[in-house]
Amino acid sequence: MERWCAKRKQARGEVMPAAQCYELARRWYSGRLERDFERPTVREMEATFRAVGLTGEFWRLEG
Amino acid sequence: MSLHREVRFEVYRHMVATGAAPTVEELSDAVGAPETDVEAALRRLGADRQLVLVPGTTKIWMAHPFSAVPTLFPVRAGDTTYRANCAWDAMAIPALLGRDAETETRCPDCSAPLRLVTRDGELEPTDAVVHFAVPPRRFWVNIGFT
Repeated sequence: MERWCAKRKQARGEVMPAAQCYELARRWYSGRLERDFERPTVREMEATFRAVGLTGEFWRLEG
Repeated sequence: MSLHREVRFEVYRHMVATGAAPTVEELSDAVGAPETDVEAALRRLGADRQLVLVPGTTKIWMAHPFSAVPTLFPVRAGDTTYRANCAWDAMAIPALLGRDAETETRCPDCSAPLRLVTRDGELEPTDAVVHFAVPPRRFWVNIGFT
């Protein structure tokens, strides 16, 4: 991770197990294929992060 | 149903069916609207962050979690190979399709072979971790890097 970040002069972000990322992916993209899909609101996006245990400043979308 | 919604739906329907992005001509035929109107709808969807267009064009680059161009994260599901934008999207595609799928790639950090397998709606156990380099509030500052 450090090597990847150093190569790109990129600060380390957040690391999570693949299983947690899968759960985020499942929830985040839910309904995307439906005809009447609406882009989630910021509140809904933040709720999705919280629902899979992603909290803290990194996951905050607005003040 | 407004045209941009119909175009968005058709983009995803085509992506799911083929693994590739539709052209403006294909969209025009599918939704029964002139190409100029379809292009306007695509620009609106790009501005709304519902699609990502190749800059300066109306060609589709991404319809998250799908990519229209080859990536490091191919997702094989049956006879179709989809292209995911990142590891997160590689897991999203089987979840979205409700189909078993496999992604064979390499760890972007250490280059070790990496396999993500989804069966019956569950990710098979793996030691892999996913690094989110960019905080979500900055995803769209440079969506290609994200």
